[in-house]
Amino acid sequence: MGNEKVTGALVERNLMRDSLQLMKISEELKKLDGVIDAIVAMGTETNKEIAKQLGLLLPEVEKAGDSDLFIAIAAKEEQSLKKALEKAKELLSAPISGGEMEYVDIESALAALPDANLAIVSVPGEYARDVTMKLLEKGIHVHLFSDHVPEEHEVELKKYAFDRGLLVLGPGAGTSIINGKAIAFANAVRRGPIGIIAAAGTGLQEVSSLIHNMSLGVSHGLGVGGGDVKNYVGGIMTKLALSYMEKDPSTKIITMVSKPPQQETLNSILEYAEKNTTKRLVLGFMGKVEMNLPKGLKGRTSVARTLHATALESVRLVSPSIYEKVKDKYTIPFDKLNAMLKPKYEKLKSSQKYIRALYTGGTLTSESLMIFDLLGIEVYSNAPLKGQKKLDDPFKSVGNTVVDLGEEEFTAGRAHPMIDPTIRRLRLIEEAKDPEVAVILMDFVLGYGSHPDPAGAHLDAIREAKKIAEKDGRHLIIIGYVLGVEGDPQGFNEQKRKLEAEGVTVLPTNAISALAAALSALRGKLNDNRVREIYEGYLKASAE
Amino acid sequence: MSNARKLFDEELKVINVGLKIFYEDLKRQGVRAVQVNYQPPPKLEKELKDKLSELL
Amino acid sequence: MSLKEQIEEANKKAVERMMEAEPYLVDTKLAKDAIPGFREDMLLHAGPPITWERASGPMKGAIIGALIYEGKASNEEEAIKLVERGEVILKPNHEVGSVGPMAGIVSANMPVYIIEDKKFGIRAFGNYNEGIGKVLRYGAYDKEVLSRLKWMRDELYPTMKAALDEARKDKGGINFKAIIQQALHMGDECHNRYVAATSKFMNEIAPYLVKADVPKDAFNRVWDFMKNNNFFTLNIGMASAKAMTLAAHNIKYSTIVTVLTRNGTDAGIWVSGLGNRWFTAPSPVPKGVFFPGFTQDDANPDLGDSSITETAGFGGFAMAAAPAVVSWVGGSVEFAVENTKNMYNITYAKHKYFTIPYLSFQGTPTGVDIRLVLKTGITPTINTGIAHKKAGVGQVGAGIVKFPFELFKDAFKAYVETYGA
Repeated sequence: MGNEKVTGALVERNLMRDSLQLMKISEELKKLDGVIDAIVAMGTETNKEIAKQLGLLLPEVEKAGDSDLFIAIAAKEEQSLKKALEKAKELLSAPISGGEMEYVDIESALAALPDANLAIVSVPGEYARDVTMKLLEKGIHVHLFSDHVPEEHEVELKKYAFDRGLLVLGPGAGTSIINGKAIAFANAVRRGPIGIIAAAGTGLQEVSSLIHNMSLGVSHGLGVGGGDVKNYVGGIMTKLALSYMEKDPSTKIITMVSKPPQQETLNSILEYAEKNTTKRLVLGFMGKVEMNLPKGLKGRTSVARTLHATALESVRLVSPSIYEKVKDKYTIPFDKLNAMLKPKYEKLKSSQKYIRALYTGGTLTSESLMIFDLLGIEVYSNAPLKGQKKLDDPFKSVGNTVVDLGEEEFTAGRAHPMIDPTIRRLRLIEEAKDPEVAVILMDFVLGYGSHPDPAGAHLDAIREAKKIAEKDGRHLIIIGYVLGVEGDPQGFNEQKRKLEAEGVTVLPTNAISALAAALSALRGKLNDNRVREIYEGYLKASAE
Repeated sequence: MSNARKLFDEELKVINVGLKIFYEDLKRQGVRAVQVNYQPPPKLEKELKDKLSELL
Repeated sequence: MSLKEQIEEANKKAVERMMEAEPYLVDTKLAKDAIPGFREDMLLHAGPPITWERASGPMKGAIIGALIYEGKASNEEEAIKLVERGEVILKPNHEVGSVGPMAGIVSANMPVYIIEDKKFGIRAFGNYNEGIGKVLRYGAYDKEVLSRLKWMRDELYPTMKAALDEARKDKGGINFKAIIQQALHMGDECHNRYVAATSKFMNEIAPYLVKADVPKDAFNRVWDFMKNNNFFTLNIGMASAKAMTLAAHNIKYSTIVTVLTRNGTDAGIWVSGLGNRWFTAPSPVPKGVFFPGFTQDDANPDLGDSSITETAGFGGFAMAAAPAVVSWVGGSVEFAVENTKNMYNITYAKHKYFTIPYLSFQGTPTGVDIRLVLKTGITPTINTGIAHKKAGVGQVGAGIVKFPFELFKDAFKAYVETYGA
């Protein structure tokens, strides 16, 4: 017994498979007796990098190209290895299926569901235009999940759709909630009076879930895609969504969530809102924006700078009494938060000073970056805000690092980390080895579309990370933020419980989680004014 | 003229083109949906393509 | 009427005829007596036309074997010389209404089944099945192969003949469409799985064997041969499929495929509205499961007329009905289901009579339409036996193969030229 292991690999030339399917196959293989580790993936650089970290960058794998599929397995002995490789082949030849009809073209699907009113499109970006146009021509609204859609296609589709009152949600829209149903990556949020328009996928998930957890609900949540608030699109769908929300009788207030729109687009959106809406607005733009509110919006508009504040302000406007009840739970007073964290950060060695935030949600990454920025904490990121430093190598953290693992460099040829936790598991262990790391911050995004058990999928890695630190005489603080609601397929409380059982600190919003990470790394020595500023300026909205 | 179909507060009926997980999640929520395992149409010369759409 | 409407009408007619045909096994004779126009110097083969020079190993092996069987050559060299001197006419089975699996070689003195379609009066023919492994149709021709062929002619054939004479007298022959229909509900897809169909057939033929008063020894040997060969009725099923697809053939304007076949070098198709015109492209190598000692590298490009079963709406197209077939051809049960579902995208109709319990008794995908192949890029996907690429070795596995897209594209081009704008 001991550390003996054998490795083996297979490469299938020009065999393309859905990354989700591959991830499932990898998971299956790992469960086999005698298998230590397994990776089944397309031969992209990212995947080879992972194979390398697993010690599985075998010569065949190294030679695999982008359109080749590789299987690499480490096992305890030859027999298990052989069996696992065979099993891999078998699983690969098995497409997932049910008993129902499936189609390969839009026309046949339309014939089968002639009164369809919505389509979700997640084809490769180059085909998105043709597919979406075909659907729009039939009067069907489209949630366009695809990435890499050429800008001119996006503009063409949105202009066409706008003229006909059709929604094109996306491209790159991860989340929508329509008629209380989760579309793509979304949470099981109850219906209610708040209509959300979002140009930021996890932003919509965070705000809608917080609203639900604060016991209110969402009428509809429309994800318009990050490109919509840039000048090349000029907010076409944001505007149409505003009209939809204005006309919708169940929507009492309209909440917007997005990274700061480009200036010209912001102005034109505000102008449109002034003329075409009468309802109360909450503008949740992550970051600083220059905003001259048009006259017609004054007195009915609130401005919020974080997701946290956007959700709270929306709740406050609909129900001041609920707001009073929940505000302390969600915006934990500074002293209380500090007291809670103190026993943990007191265990840190003096050499441990850095925060490493490993995010799967893009908007959550931005929100944390903003909070660190405001606290004057120097951070590196692969998706830095203006004035922050960019990581030279996104696979390697330096100093305080906030990394968005959902960025392209991590997802080429494999599933998003919200679905496939492999990348983050490996990264977590790497961070634990660094003696200067004090706090690791991670998000666990629940809901439809996500991994069936994101917390559970990280427990082994969390234990190992802690073990590595302890061996070295260090205490490692791990803060986990669980984004979701109890009705999600994963169950909010169950996920929270699993993390807490491993000593992970779980806090009620992402913003508070980021603040707690900073507080811990700085041993509670945060500049009082700055913190107050955050609590007042960022975790609360200003009404204008 | 708009032929936009009614969406809000109408029963959702969804055509899912691409990732099957979205289809499965819709089914789980009791939404009527059909799955399209989209394959890009084969590349054909223009005349053939035109002829095909005329005859199909 | 626009051409599009004419196509619609023609395809409807073609596929309806394909489904309504009623193939019966009515008789068996030697090829030279059964097949109109058959000549002593002729060999029928699977797939589109082939020359000796371009023939693949297993096809060559089967030709050599057939010439030795016929007594025209006493060994391999003599057989090759005979062919090279141009003294053997090679003709596709399909051009005379016949079919044969793999090499599909039919020579003058080989017995063939005679299928008669009771609805439209069409006749089709198919040779006898030798079993699996080292057999002529996979290009093997050693002593064992030849002596089996002789036994089939000298004992199996007269026995079958006697029984079929009785069956014909009693009820006009054996309704093989009904057997396929039932076998699809018993786990066969009737291309690479004929376990249920063969059992059903044995039940049907047994009383006529008794009635025919066949000698007990012969009866025992024939019965054992049928019992031990799960593919015994494959060739009858294929000839039945040939009768069905012939019923759909030569319908003006129709874009329905009426022949899908391969000869080990090329794959070829016919389209109903384009008559007996071959469209060909290199035959692909199947991917599959190999017998011990063989690998993918041993596989010959696909061959055989057996894809007539898919042409008629069963076989690989009905794989969802036959989960057990994947243990033979590879893949998974899910793949079997997926393949059937996928084929609906390129076929004109769901079969009226052939249904799949697992898919809530939906009809099998029937009638490949070249227009749908062009539109979707999906091509007919079938299951198949795999021959060793060298002559004389025989079967080395079974697997899955897709027909090349170019066939359908070329056919569509020709269609446009023929029927114009």
